[in-house]
Amino acid sequence: MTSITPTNATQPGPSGSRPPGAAPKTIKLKLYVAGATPNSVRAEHNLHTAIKSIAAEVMTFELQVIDVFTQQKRAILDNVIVTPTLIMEKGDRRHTLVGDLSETARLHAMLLA
Amino acid sequence: MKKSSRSAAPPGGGSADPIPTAKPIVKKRTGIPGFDEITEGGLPAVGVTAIVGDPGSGKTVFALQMLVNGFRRGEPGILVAFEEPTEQLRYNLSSFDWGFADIANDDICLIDARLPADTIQTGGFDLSGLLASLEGRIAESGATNLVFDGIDMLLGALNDEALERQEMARLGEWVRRSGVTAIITVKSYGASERDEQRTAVLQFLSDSVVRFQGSLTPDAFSRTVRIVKYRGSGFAANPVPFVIGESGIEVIGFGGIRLDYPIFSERVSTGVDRLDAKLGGGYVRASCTLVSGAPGTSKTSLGASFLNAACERGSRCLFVSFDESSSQIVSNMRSIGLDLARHVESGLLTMESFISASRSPEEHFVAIRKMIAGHRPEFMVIDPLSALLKMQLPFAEMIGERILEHAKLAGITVLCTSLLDSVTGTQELSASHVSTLADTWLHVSYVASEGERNRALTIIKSRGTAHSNQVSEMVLGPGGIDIVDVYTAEGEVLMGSARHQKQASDRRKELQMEIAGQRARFELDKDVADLKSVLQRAVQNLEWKEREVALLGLEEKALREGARTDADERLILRQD
Repeated sequence: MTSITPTNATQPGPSGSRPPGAAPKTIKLKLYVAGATPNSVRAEHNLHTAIKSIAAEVMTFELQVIDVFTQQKRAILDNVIVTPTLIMEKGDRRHTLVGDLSETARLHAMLLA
Repeated sequence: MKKSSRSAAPPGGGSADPIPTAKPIVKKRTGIPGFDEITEGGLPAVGVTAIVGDPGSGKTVFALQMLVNGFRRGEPGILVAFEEPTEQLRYNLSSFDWGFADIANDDICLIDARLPADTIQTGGFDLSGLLASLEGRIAESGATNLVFDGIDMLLGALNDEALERQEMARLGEWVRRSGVTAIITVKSYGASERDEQRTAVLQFLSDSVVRFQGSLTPDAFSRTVRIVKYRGSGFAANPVPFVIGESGIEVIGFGGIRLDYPIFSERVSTGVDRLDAKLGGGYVRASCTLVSGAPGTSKTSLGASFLNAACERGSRCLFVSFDESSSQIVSNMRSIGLDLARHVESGLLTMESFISASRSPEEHFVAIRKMIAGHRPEFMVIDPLSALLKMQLPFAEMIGERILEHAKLAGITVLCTSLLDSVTGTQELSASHVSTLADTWLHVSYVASEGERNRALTIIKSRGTAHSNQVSEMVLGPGGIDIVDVYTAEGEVLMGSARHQKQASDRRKELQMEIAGQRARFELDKDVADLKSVLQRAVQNLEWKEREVALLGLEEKALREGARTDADERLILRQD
């Protein structure tokens, strides 16, 4: 049940040239995982892949990966019931995705929406 | 079979066998009345108990009641609500008399574990997040009782039987590792294949499985609880009725194990003098009397007379009637000279009437028991007990017996009536069942002949009493009930006006015979007198004739002597 997952990791979006005048939107992402359980590992991998595929000019991401085994309080505060859970904050709006994010097309659409 | 299923469901890590060893299982009392009886001590102290049932069958009430009872013993609890908002649960809790408002949120913690409404699901997930946060809370509050309410809501979202089973196994493993008592409630609509699968999974992943069921009849709703499985323990496997009242769930166990009723020999008046005489002094104290009969045969009047007499002796009485209002009974009884209203006013008599179909027999039982506890009667009438039986609910008969048993244990002398439906005849059977518990069984029937119906009372049985097997006639008048010996003539039993008529005509015949007899004697006397007088005259005649004969003899003698004297004189004369 022990894990070696990174916590509180900040993953900046891939760097590149930005079109002048168009400030890219920044989305805050919190991924709650349960150690190195298969669902969590898959979700983290799927999320990284999706983020990488989106050009930094379009959008930047602030990702925190939080392990519920070590940070129970945060999980309680965010009302996390199942793992993995991805909480997406775009300004005032907040979206919750549960599952291993294996439907990549859907994840992509959600990130860009 | 179990082994193969288990290997197909990898538990959430660790190779420890979750099956407990053979040592006797440690149980924890739920404090829910009757439930600890049928489980022989409560739920597994460490392990998962699955409560399966239809929506509205009482699963959540059971779980909440267990938590509250646990808290009263000093065990904090947590309820994870997958289905209902916690405000709804709080509201439900406050409708029971558990004083939930006084319990701090930390002592019984309600966690809203519904996924946010706009949650999007992409792929598989697991319960690790929840279990981790629960671990945190347990560490803080020291909770030992956990409830996962409506877990099927969450697991159903997985939409995959194998994943669902895996999460169930994870939960079970976590519970055993944490050393807590856990209840999971699972809805079951009974019919669907998915439910069947889920139930099958629960069967082997839980340490005990309890099924709540409701059966709806045209008349009422009856709830039952059944222990489907209890690993490492004995249990009562048959469905047992339960009720949900203001104190929560109450399981009506089978009781009836103890038969050590207090035994009395004292007699108490039936309220009818001549019936007392026939029963050797009255009903035996703390016994049960069944009065059966068709509608209108004065069963209620017998009951009312009994209680009226008891109230007049200053005893506390309870009159429970079904489907007839107390005021109606009071007014009806006034016509036979019984003033029940007076006893109600003095507080000795409590009268309660119910609509039989408004509740299940179990609920009626709980209500009657409550009244007994509140009023503490010495004497009780249930009129008619068969109102409970007529609902044809599965536990009607058992409940009928439980009521009588409860009264007997409390030392209450009971008279219950039973309506025999002459149209269908079906009640005959039910009544006979209750009649085995009854110590005395009186049957009142109508005897119809020559255009009238008369009430006939038979003592069918009376334990420990010499009693007449003869049918008596019951006569109701403004002075109450009276029992009249019937008139038997030429092998026929006569009652009512026929009895009157027959008695009168017999009296006339008797008189005529008496006159005829007197006349015959007179004739005879006259004959004897005549003969006597004939005889007397004959004797007189004889006397006279004898005197004549005697006179005649004297004459002849005189004549003969005269002749001889003459001859002698002549001879002398001749010799001279």
